[in-house]
Amino acid sequence: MTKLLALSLVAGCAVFTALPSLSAEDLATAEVAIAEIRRIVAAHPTVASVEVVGASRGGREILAVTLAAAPSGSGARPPGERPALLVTAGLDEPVPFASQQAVAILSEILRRAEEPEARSVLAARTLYFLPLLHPDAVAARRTSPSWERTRNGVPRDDDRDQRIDEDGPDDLDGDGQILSLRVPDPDGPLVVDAADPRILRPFEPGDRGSARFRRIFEGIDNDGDGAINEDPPGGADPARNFPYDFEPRASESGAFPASEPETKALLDFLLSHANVEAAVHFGGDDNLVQLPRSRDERPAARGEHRVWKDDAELYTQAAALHKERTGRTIAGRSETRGDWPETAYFLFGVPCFAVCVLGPEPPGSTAGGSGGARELEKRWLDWNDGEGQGAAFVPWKPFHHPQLGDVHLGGWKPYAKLTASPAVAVQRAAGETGFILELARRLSDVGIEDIRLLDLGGGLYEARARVTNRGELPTALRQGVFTGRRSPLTVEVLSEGLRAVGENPRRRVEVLAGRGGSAELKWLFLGAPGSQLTMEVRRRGQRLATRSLPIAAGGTL
Amino acid sequence: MALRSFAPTLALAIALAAGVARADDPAVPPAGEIHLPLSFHRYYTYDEATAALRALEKAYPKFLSLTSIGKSIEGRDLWVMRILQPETGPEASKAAMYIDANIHGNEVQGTEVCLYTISYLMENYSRLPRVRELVDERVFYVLPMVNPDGRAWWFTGPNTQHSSRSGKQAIDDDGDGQYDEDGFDDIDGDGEVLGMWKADPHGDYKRNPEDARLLVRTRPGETGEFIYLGLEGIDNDGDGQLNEDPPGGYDMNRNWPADWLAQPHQYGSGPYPLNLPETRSIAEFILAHPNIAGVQAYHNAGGMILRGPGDSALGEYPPRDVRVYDKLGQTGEFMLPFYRYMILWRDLYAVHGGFINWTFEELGIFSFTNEIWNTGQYRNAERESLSGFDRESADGLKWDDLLELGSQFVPLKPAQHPLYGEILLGGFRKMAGRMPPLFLLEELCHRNAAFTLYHASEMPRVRVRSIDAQRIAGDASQVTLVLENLRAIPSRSGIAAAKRLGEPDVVELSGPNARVLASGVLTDKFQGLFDGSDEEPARVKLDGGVPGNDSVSVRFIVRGSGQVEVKYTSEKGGRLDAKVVLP
Repeated sequence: MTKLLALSLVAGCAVFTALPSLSAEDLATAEVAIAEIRRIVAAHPTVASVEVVGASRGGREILAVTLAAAPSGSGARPPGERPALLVTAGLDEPVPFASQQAVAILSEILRRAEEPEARSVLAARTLYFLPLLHPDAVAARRTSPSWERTRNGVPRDDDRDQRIDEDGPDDLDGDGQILSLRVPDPDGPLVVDAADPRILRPFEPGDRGSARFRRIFEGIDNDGDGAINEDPPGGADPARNFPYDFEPRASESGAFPASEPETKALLDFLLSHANVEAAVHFGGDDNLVQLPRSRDERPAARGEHRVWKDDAELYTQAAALHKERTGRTIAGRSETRGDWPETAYFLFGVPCFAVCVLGPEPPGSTAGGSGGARELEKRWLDWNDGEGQGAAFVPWKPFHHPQLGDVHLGGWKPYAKLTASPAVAVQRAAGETGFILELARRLSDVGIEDIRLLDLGGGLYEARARVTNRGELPTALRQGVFTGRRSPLTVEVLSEGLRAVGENPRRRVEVLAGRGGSAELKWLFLGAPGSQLTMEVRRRGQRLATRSLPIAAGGTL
Repeated sequence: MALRSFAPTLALAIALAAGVARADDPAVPPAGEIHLPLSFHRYYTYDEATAALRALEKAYPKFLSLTSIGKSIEGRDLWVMRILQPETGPEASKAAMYIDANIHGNEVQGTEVCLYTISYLMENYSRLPRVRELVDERVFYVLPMVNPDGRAWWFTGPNTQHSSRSGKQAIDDDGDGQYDEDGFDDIDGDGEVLGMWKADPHGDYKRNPEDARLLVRTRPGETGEFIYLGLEGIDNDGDGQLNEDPPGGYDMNRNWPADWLAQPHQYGSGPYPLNLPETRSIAEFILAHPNIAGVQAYHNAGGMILRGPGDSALGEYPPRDVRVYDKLGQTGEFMLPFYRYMILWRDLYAVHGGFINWTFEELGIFSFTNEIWNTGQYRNAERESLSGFDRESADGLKWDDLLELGSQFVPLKPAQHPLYGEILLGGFRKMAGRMPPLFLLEELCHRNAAFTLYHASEMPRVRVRSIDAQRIAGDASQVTLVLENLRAIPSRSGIAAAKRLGEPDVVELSGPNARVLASGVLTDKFQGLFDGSDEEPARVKLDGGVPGNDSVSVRFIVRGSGQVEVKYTSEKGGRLDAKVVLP
């Protein structure tokens, strides 16, 4: 971490000319972010397009970007029929930075669009980017007063008192941000740390006699019910609103699964793009460092978090690839109820590789989570005092609270621990782009090989073909087959003048394993063949491969 | 209606039973020409039901307002008829009964029950004091067609009594990339989907020796004359299968966000809860009306009054709720002697993501599904088996021969099939089996409507029994409000209290010269002890609400003088206020 990065934390909108100029603009507001995405796409009209796929609870656009070269040459498929990788971000904490990261990757891919690796991927694959899924959360960061929140604006009576959103944080000192209150409390759980009085650490038996405190966010008891900040504005976190293992009635999970427009927009996008075979998500969730647990039996109907053993191997491979290309391993949240990565896998059979973009440690820390909460807090304060130039932490100062009396006001500024500089995203974009492109390259790639028609005499013909998956991922994960959400392949033989005898001319192949998985198919036909035999492989109506054989009895293509 | 004489004409019944809503059928007025009073010796297509609703609204504009709360997949309106007496209080302050029907496209007669309910309430408002009381004190939201596309398709398309449950969102059931390409086909154009048979000297079916119109399986060692080819249809997509990808392909009654499970754990549940425009629109409507205190959904068939839970894994409902359910359900059995009061998972089958499971388990509203029609009604026999008598037996066919003059059964007749060549078509028409014959429809409508009105009458009716103030010391007084609920359903169900669903009832005291020191729900009226509400003593939350046929006493210890006002606010129990002068 450089001083420049620390400065950006203070300034919030620093531009780093010393670093690669790939979307280095700070996506300071949702409007800026939306404009930036549109600007990047507009600069690459031959391979990029953008569409609006929804509107947030606050009415902001939810954008989807499609990256794919126009089809060229015979057999080339339109973008909607190519194996696709879906990239999502800006849904869960840290929302603004995750969006920043995704936009930087988007920009980097387009910058490399003419380089061999990207060009071949964009010719044969489709990349979908939804980099700003919760634009209202981005907007919230710069709304005064600023306070950390991932909930959207849907009204919710958190304290169930028939009054809605009536008691949120209050900017008591008018500095435009919500800090913390250190409140004297004889039964409080915290005491002031002797070594660094800025730290509030848990009370221990040896602290008997020390002043005790509780810590709350800056605010007053607006509704006179004795509680402070218990019913803040808004009420649902779209990142906890997904249908798999949804937690009903949790504080921010939403009225019902996919009740929130942000959540629904992503689900409907996936449902309407059957060519999506895998996804990568940037946010706070993680399944590449903390790999999913696995099992080999039928999943439990409720609360299952273990993936099929066959599928677990894909996560292992993706984790290795991510580490190889980025060199980073940041552990984040896993097995979170109602989240997107598990919903993609368990309900739709789409593996969603979750990349945690910010860890709990301060920038530059090599502690790796050692020690307890007090030590972690100390490392953050050390960083604040050094590279942070003291700008992220506001020292406790006496403050007279209208209801609580004499307290102290101070603590970490909102988002201080949840934000990194745009330059960090840009720096990381190169590695992440390599990961994305290679993952896209590894998607399934179905072809028809060794097609033959043999004249058996007397108007009887035998057609043979081998259908092969040359990609590294299977055509369907086991979970996709289990849920029925990943359709089988249909292989069909078409020829004028021939009538199938025995096997149906349209055959089903449930799944082709990755790395050369294949199926040998054979048909008998009767009649007088026309000029050619055509064979097609489709999945859910989308053509994956076509091959035609000019007919000459006994001939091989 | 109930006060009108019931005199169906046999000719009308036969004409309607023979075909369904044909445009050229003189017994079926064209859509848009529905006249009041509505007839319940017929079934209404979607368009006709819409016209009937409009006619009702036009006839009773003071009480009725018809609103579309959304559109179906194919763009049909989801109609809700609100029944509200505007002169007896605001809508949100009255407990509301929500009634719907026809979530499964083929389960049509609930729509007629809905139309009957609206008609009955309006026609009898000025005649029957109990009807007047219901309309004055309650609100009704009646949604006769949850699945309007399914209804329209059932009437006009090739279907059987069992098809099509689904709505019309295209689903690729057979995973071949084509959507809804291979459903039933009416091969001979007679408006029915019948069984297909083919003569075969080695077949496994023979004529029933007791009635040669019926075919039965051969016994081991016997030689048959026919083979069964399936229900009427052709292999539209040439994949070697018949009728394997009909329109739709899901179950709207598994799409609700209560114990929702994805496929394959639950067939037809959809990719996520409320992904369909119909279910989502209805859910949003119900969530926007927290005054809904009763839910009734009409399905067919079997003769059941069903409640949740939908799965044994969820355990039984709270005992205080079970007592209410039992009272309502057992009264339903009395009113509907052909029906049984049943628990879904225990007595029928497991349901995940069911509608009434959502309305009770996630919203706390007492909810029933009636599976309307049982052949017990046909035979005046109580407690027929759920599947009814064996219609396709020689004895069963006698009922059609004698009581319906043969109108429901099509004897085997020759037809030409594009693949099978000469075949025979025969069996029961789609109107038979899951629906009552027309001469029993009005009785079915009335009995079910009466049960639902009984349910509506048992929704909470909270009143102030008393309010008094007594001086206890100096300028301190105790104010005691006794709220009583005159009906069986509590203002908050036990499950709502346990799961913290919705808003608790609130009792609030205010007065210009009064300050509340303490308050709570009286637990011992003799000693004057209460469960306190320390943080905000002027407001007492009643998460358990006001129990059914019971009372709750709330006490405030107040310092001050003059008049104070006590307000009770409840989502389902209404709004009340009372005043008392501090002594």
